[in-house]
Amino acid sequence: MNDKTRLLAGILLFGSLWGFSEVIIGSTIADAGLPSGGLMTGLFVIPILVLSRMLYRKPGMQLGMGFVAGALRLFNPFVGCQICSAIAIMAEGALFELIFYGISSDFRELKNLTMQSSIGIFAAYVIFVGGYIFTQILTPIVAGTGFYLENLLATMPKMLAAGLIPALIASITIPLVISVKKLDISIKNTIYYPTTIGISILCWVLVISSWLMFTA
Amino acid sequence: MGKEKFIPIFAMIVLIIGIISTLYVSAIEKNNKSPDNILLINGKEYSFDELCNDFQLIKINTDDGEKTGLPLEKLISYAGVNCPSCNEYNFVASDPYQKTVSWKDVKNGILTYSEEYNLRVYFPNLPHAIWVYNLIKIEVNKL
Repeated sequence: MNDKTRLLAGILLFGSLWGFSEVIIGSTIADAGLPSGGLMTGLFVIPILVLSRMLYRKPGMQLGMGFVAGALRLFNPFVGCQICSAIAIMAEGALFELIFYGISSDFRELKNLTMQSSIGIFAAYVIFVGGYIFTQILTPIVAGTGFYLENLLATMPKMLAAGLIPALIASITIPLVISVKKLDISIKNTIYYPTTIGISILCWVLVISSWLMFTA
Repeated sequence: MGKEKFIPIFAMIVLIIGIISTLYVSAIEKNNKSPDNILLINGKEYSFDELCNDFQLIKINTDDGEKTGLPLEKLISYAGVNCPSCNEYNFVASDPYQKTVSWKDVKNGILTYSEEYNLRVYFPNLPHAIWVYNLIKIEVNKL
């Protein structure tokens, strides 16, 4: 199997893990009364995006992961506007691509802790606030209540404040993820494909099962 | 200027924006917080407890389960709005999140109180992002 197939399997695996974490873990955190969006972005989303970029070194991969995660989010029974959150996730994937466009695929610029923490802070903040803004624009339009610029502007301080938690978390998690680079992870094709596809299927089965249980 | 310089600067900028916004939102929330669950509807002040004495609670079904509260349709009329369908309604929170809703959806909505969300509106046919909590004001705007 060629590199393209290997990359597609990677997009499916990491996109599914992203979608699974948003739907299942995110909902659990929200049920505990914690700020799920911020915690999810700092603890799971940005680390998953950075790890996948580091392992595969292919720009465009994270956009594809956003589409897979967004598709999985459509099966989230815990949000009112599934399509809005699905599109917001895809937008987060696109924002990651934009931020990391100028960063080399081997992360050689991120050699010291300051740079690693800084990129974590900047990426988590921009991706979280960007996704939040995107949802605030899209949700009223999809819901049919119409988009009001004054509502978005009034909510802007809250959205800008909400980015602080994921930024601070990512300042710790991203250096941790980048330290994994020192480990040599090489998996043979005979194990790689069954593992990636198996884990992806498991993520989808768990999300769809929870959706069916909730809606039944 | 190389990436080694501007990435930490960008990080500092977003951190400063985040900290200032957090302080601003906390100050606004503190300033707007009503100790007695007072709600401003169409410029008039109402206490939630008083409203509960004047109106019967109703139950509605939402995708987040059954909710019990005061019918917004009656509260709007009670606040002196003569032609409810001639207006749209702006629901403002203390933080100050806000959402605008048409009469078509307002008339199906309810006002509730809980320890977690304080005053909150529920609209069965609208996404959760429109269910404004920590509500302090309902503005009535002519269409």
